[in-house]
Amino acid sequence: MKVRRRRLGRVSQGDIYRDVEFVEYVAEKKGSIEISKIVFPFVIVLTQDCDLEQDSKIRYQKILAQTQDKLILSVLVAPLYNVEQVYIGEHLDQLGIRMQMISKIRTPGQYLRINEIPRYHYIEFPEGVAISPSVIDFKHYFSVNVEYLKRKKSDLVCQVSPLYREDISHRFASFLSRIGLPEV
Amino acid sequence: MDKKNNVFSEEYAIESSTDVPSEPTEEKKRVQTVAGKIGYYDKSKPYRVIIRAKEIKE
Repeated sequence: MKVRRRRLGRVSQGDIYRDVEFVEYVAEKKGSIEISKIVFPFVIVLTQDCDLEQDSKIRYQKILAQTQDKLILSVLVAPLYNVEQVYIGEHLDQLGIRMQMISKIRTPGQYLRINEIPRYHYIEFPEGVAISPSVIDFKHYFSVNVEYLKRKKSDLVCQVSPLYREDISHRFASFLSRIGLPEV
Repeated sequence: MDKKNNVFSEEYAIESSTDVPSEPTEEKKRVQTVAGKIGYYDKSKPYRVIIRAKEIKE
């Protein structure tokens, strides 16, 4: 897979950020507040780049327009998990979640690596990018605030090159649009 | 502001709560790193942080 390291100055599709927080809930009880969040080591931006570009123009370049209908409220991302941890089902153990094991040397592991499992997208990074071979878990997508990501410039690791990010986007769309049929 | 006194900071959460944060222990980090391809970053797995604030200021 190819990546780009130059920065566009805005959030863009295929960007990979580290240490991204997902707020699970904010609760208030008798004058106290509790915030629960999950910190993901790496996430990839899935929102379409044209949407991000239009949002950036209105948000930061202050283009005069009668409406702001191109502004987006949040950015869709999906976490990357270390594939070695995915094989043994322990990538979410710190959240108290035990995942199904995927045999590395048998068919399930091979299917994972050739992207035959709709839920996952396997990626290997070129030398110089300090991320181990990983899988994107499409089922765990979530949204983050646009300004929050914009402020995390120093945590931008790299950007997946256009052709590869379109592949990821296409597979994500297919996963979301799948139809679950009942057992007969 | 002193982070330990900022009710929304993680430092405050560590001081005021017993179940946060659930980061890997040193032992776990070492094991993951020795496994080679598993460890590449100190916090290689998602972890949860719970922040509890004793006072809400409006």
